[in-house]
Amino acid sequence: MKYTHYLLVLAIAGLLFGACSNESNKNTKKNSEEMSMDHSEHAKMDMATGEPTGESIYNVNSSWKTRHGHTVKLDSLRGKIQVVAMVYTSCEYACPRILTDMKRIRDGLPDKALRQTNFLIVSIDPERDTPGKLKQFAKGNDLDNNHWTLLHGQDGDILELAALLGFKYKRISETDFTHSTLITLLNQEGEIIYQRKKLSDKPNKVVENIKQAVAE
Amino acid sequence: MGRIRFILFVTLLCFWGSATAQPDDMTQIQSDTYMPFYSAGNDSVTVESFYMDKHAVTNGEFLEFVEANSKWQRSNVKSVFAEDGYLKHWGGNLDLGPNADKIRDSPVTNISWFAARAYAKWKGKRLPTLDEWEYVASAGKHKPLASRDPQFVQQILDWYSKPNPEVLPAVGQRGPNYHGIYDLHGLIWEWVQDFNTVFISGESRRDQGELKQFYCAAGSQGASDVDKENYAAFLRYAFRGSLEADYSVGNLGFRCAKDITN
Repeated sequence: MKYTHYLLVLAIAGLLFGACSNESNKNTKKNSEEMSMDHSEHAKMDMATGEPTGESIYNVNSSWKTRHGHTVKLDSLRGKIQVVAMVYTSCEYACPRILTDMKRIRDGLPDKALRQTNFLIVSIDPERDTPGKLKQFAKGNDLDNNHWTLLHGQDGDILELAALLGFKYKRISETDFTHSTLITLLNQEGEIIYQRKKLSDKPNKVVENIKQAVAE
Repeated sequence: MGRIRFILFVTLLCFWGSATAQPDDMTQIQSDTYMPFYSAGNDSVTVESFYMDKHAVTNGEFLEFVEANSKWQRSNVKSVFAEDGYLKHWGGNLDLGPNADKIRDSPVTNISWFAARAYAKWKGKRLPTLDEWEYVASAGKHKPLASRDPQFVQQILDWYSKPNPEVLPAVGQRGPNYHGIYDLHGLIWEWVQDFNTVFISGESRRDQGELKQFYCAAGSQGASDVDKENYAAFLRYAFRGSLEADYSVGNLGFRCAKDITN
């Protein structure tokens, strides 16, 4: 009888603790050492501090892995303009075209704007797009560390990010997904400032929007 | 020592209710296979066993959540997670408003997908998947798969065609369905975990749009009984397809689900 009580009290304490620990996680500071390994410009980003703005997607608390296996939070991307796409690397139809468009956007940017821009690729296929696979993919597509971030995450966190971006996706077979072809532009604070919705729309407009965001 | 044990005992008594009530409010749904409304042929979906809340989450329950999680209170919530109408039918952050007594046991609405998800997480639960929800909701009073039953579908369609009442009735006023779950139809619409998997038109792949497929089927067959049987589900899919995760809608609430772990 006594035992049962103690066990229950322990269980309850555990429950209460569990409920609170989410809050404390939020305050965990990101590991800036890990950051700098991925992006030489990240030191600058750390200057953006304080709570994210109300419209910032950096309000999420999820943890992600980079192609180098380092754990990061999305708010580590703060400070630069982000060109964001959600893809899976074994996609043969839309994703290669999205990547091509992202490269076109990169090539269309003047040096000054390019220095303030990062390209973010988030995989919707965490099972197969392991950090190692993402590294390989980056290498095969010439995605350098300075301008490209590739992230691997948990299913629920990917779904949450997709919901924030208004990105839809669904697994349709063992190997394939159907998905939106969105390219999203985030400003330095992580707020959505523009979205290229259709694959058939030329990426020039994204370039124009980046130039404008940099000028502001 | 005796005193400490007494305090522990009292603490226990206080928590006893909440610690044991949770499973009672849920029902185990047995694994089964069903045909989603858009299926053409043999692409049935298997739903694994899971727990589902018997009732939709009420205003009273959601109030407890925002009391414990101030960042989900009306004036604190980040706009990226909930649009302006979030909990607009309440009087304030911790105030259910002038209709408090009437709405305490009514399903909470005007909450975004992010808020529903946060509530579920706080409870150690999750939102049901679209397939889980549709499977359980395809059950009539006496049989697990009634979505091809004209009377069952007609009742749902009749509800869809009615305007929303000023004040939503309390949960659990009508009888449960085959699984012992209440109010999947006739009270509110409900968020599901993967609401954003519905494609109104094919986006990355040609002709993957489920609703488009439905339109096409309806067009080629005319308004046959088959279409009507599916029409209620079609409306739900269309509604989900039109949602964004930060929307706060007056007749859209949620209930929780939970994995079965041994």
